[in-house]
Amino acid sequence: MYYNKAALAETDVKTFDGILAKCSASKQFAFPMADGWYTTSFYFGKNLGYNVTYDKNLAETKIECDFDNATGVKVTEAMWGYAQNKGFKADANDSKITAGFSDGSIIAAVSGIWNRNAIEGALKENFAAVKLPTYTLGGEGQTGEQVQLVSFAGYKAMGVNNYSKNKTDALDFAEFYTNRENQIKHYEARGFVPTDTEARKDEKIQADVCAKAITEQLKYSKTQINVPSTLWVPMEGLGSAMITGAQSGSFDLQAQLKACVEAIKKTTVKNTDSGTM
Amino acid sequence: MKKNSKVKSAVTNPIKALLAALRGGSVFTRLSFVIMGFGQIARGQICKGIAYMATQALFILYMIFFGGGYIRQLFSGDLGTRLSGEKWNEALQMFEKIKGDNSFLILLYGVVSVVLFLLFTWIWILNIKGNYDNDCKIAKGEKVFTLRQDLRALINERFYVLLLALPLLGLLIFTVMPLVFMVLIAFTNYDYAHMPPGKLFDWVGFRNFKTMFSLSQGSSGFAFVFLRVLLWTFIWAFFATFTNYFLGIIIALLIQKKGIKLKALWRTLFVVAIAVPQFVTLLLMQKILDSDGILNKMLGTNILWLTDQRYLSLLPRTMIILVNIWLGVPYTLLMCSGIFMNIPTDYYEAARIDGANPVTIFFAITLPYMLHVTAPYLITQFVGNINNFNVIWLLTGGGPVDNLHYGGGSQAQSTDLLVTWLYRLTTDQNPKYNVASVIGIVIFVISAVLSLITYNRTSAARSEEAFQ
Amino acid sequence: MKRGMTRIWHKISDVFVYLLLATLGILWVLPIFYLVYTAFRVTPSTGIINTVFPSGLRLGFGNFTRLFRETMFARWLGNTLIVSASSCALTTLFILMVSYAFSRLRFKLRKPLMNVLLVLGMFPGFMSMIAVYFILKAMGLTNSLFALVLVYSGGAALSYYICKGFFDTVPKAMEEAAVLDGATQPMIFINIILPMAKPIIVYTVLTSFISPWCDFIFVNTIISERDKYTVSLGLYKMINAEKNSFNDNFTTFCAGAFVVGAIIVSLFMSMQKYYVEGVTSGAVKG
Repeated sequence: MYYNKAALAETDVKTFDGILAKCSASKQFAFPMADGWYTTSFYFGKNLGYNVTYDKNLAETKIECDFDNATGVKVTEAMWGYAQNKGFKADANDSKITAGFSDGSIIAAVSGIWNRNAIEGALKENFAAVKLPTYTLGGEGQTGEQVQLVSFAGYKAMGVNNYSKNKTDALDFAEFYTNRENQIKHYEARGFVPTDTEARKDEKIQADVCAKAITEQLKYSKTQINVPSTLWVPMEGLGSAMITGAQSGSFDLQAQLKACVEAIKKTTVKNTDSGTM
Repeated sequence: MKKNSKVKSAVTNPIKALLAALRGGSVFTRLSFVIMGFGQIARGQICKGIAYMATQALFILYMIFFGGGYIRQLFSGDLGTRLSGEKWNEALQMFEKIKGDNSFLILLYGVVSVVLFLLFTWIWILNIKGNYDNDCKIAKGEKVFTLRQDLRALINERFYVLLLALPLLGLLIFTVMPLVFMVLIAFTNYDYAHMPPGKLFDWVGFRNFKTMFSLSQGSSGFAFVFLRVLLWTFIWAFFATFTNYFLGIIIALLIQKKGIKLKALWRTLFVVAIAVPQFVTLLLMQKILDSDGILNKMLGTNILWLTDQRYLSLLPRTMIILVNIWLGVPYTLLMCSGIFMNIPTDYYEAARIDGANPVTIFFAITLPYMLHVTAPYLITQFVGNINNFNVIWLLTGGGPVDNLHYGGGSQAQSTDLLVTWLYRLTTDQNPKYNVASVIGIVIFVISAVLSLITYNRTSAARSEEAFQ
Repeated sequence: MKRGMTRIWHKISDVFVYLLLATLGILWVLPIFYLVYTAFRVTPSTGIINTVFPSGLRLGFGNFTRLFRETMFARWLGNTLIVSASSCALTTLFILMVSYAFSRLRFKLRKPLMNVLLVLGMFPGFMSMIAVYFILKAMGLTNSLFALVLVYSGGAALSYYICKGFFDTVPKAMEEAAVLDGATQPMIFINIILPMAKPIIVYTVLTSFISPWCDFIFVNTIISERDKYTVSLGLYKMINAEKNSFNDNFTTFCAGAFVVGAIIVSLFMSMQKYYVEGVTSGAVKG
């Protein structure tokens, strides 16, 4: 999470409530609610499951998703509570976040490492980054448990096409591209934190605020498995319904959650309870 | 009834002709059934004969070494059986790929081979016909054509062959073959789980159609989603076409009115909107109508113009129609202006003498005339709007995603037209080409039915000259 | 008395109409005005707009220099010019040949072929897109401008209607006279019909030249290397890039859009006379 050092203190950014206390309609906390990559972290925080079983053709045979059990409902209620907060900007995306930082309308935002240069350019000396905060289960303001957001740990992998003409050369290049020194070079060029733990011990990386944030967040992350688009699209629908609901005031939580999870569970292989094509 | 007999005769006539050639032709003709070009060479048309023979030889070689195998696999019921595998190669320290069958290439080359086979059959028939014609000529005592005479005929009487050859070839390769190919895909299970070259896909018959259209799965099946998308497609096409049309007429009338000066200026103002390419202005509109965009900033509101999900995304749908009005009215305006200038003024004068007021004149003279002249245009616009990809895709991307009404894992979103749904299915992270093909076929059927209705109406309309 | 009343009524309704036209006219021009305005604004380095009228309105060519220096816009312009010129030539040629053949010549397969082409034109363009991509891949032509030209011209024969409608209006007497004088078919085509068809040729050239500038779907599928983009794909990517490649250059986009718009507008204006003639003679009768 990126934030504006001038507006938020280090203690504030540990929890959602802490951040939102300093937010208002003109100084918001941005969280892309319509993006499944971010919103799943609420559910994973409470250890709700999402698992995909593949068959030999890499078609999903079974998708298990717990997001709509009793705990899931409570998590969604917490999300909905935040969405209605005037200081919470649920309708966010990367470009809005950068724009918001540069004109001061956003003081904290959840985004990814790829955005780092742009945001740093916008915030200049007020640039700060930290691991994801915790949110309050049981709604904001009420005494509920603090749940740490568990994000997807995204990573980049380099693969070689099995049908390429010069496979040995390609494999050598892939190895070269991802070896230790080059991971550090990647960091210098684009700010990507190395996956190699030894490479991370490099001083430049140790000193970097973002790298520190990501390394800390890694303790609370799930490795991103091969996720079919049946996860992203329904979550986008859920988030978008929340955004609309926050405007209009009406959001049928139960029905939306149920529809979302039902869509997530649709597999390709026809089985008796939930198959499509 | 007429159509059926036409088709029947189209098939039986050539067969009858062939049989006649077999029975009534000379020895040379009969031999040409087996060895193409034989008759031509015997009669002195050396070049033609050699060309035919060469074609036959090439075709047979092609079939033996290449095409035949693919055609066999095409029709064998499963497109390819050998799955590709891996083998550890100790020397190179990596997995080596063992090539298996590639279902896609089998389908592709199979179709190509079938097309070539049909082409060859046609050339073979030409060969027979040429021979039979030669027989008839010799029987009548005329001379057979020399090469020079043939070429001259090609340029003069059969000029259309020269003219049509290249364009139709381009059409065959870039339109017909891909279409046949994609139609066939609708009968397979080609999607992200069955992607060659790593995986195979097979024929599945009508299963995709059943899943798309069967209502038995209720609200969790595809059929409801399909019907919703279809309904919105029609509603959109209707509103898009007619709002533009009537607004265009009204504005054209306003500008046309006597006593309004600077007519050219007014028209130019509207035409400026279409000066910039459509997709650019659409992208611009998308940014303007964004919830953090200029429009909201100017109005001081926070309205989700393009993402408000309520009432089946009523607001985004309205905005799309409004933006389309902005885009389309300049065109209808220009067209209507042109047509207005052609309405015979005697109608108006007669009406004015009779003391009719402007409103009556509009409804009794102007509107009927306009509708009569532009009826074909309206229907082509309607069919075109059914496939209006740009407006929807660039403004909302088909969204917003509405899980409540568009579920079922269909990937359809609430402002999707059939075309945008098709596009998304082919460019998604997990593409489903077979479903996309089914949708494409549906679009084709709808467009074809509507266009054929137009065709009949315009022929009928053309025959009625007088319009009172 | 009555005549005076009607005159006043006319004046009032005229004023009313002027007001209406003015409002509508402004509404219609506004987005384009916004585009031009944004193209010429001087912006902060992050290139993001969030106020309509910033304090201190400054106009400048900054966006344009950024457009040509940082993006490959000049390259894209060149690509698009090559593609549109070639496909325009090929398409016009094809359309002329096909519509002439269908309109003036009579042969056995004429009606069936026309119907087949009519039916073919009813398939949505995308259905063939994926297959075309694979066919091109098999020919080794993906990622080449040549492939784009082929794709754009390949389906040319399907749009023969307007041209044919025009040719239908040419009186047969001319041809018959020429044949009596001993002209061959090609001579008739080249020396008599083509010169008469200037308006429709210009119309066809214009429309086929403009269409590669406006299409981004086909280009998106076939071309993946940045330096082979056409202008339309480049603009699309500027403002609609995928996630994880932060790339919002709204002002540069407006500058690019302005350039493209200017080119197309000047083309249209210089050919305006022919365009209107072509549309009305072909479409209304067609």
